[in-house]
Amino acid sequence: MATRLLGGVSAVLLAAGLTAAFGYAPRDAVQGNVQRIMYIHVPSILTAYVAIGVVLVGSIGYLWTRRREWDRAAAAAGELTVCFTAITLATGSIWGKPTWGTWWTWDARLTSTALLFVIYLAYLLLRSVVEDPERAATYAAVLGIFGALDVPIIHFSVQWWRTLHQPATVLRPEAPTMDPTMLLALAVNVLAFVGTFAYLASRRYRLLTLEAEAQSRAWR
Amino acid sequence: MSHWDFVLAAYAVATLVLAGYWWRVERRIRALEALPPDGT
Repeated sequence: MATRLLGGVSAVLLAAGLTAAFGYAPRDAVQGNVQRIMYIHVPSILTAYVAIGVVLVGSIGYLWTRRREWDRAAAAAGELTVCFTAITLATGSIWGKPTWGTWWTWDARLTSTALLFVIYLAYLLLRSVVEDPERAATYAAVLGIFGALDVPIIHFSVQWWRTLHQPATVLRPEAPTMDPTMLLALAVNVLAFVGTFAYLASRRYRLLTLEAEAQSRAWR
Repeated sequence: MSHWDFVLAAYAVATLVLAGYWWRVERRIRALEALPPDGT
């Protein structure tokens, strides 16, 4: 019931986010309409950070308690980390072509984000190739914690290295530099993406529980 | 300067990834929930 409600709220927020991105937020004076890609590009990477936070907590929880529930939460969030990072990379690339004149460049922000995608892809691969569930969960937990170390590198890459990617406009110590209407449209989309993550993660958790039950029945 | 094709492509990619993931998870949940309690 709570999951269904979460799904409904997320759907409404996604619709509100689309309306805000295309109907409320103004056309950017410099970039034109292509700037509207930011309303999914930024929420997708922020949601990936939230998903990695869940992987981190789930992984530490599993290593601490050895309870499968923690591992399932980490596994569900790990898959969604890959999904949201893939959206970030794809939408950034689509935005980059008309804005920078290239689909891809080995800029520190882009490279560290691509590395995040590869780490969590390896995380999923590791889970699928190690047959013993206990060992798979332990190895995955260690890799999940290691992968989270890339998040501060991504965030501070624009300060530590000279990059083509613009510096932070929202997650910064000073006030955001964006127009308030654009900031509101972005905030609605961040809420919508985080809500969608929470809904999808709860459904994936349910599936992992059902799979574990089916497997234990098969072994009886 | 409008670049609507790029904007639509970006939103289409995001929709495909999220809707595809959701559809795949729901399909597998339905298949497992349809199994009888003894798993036969």
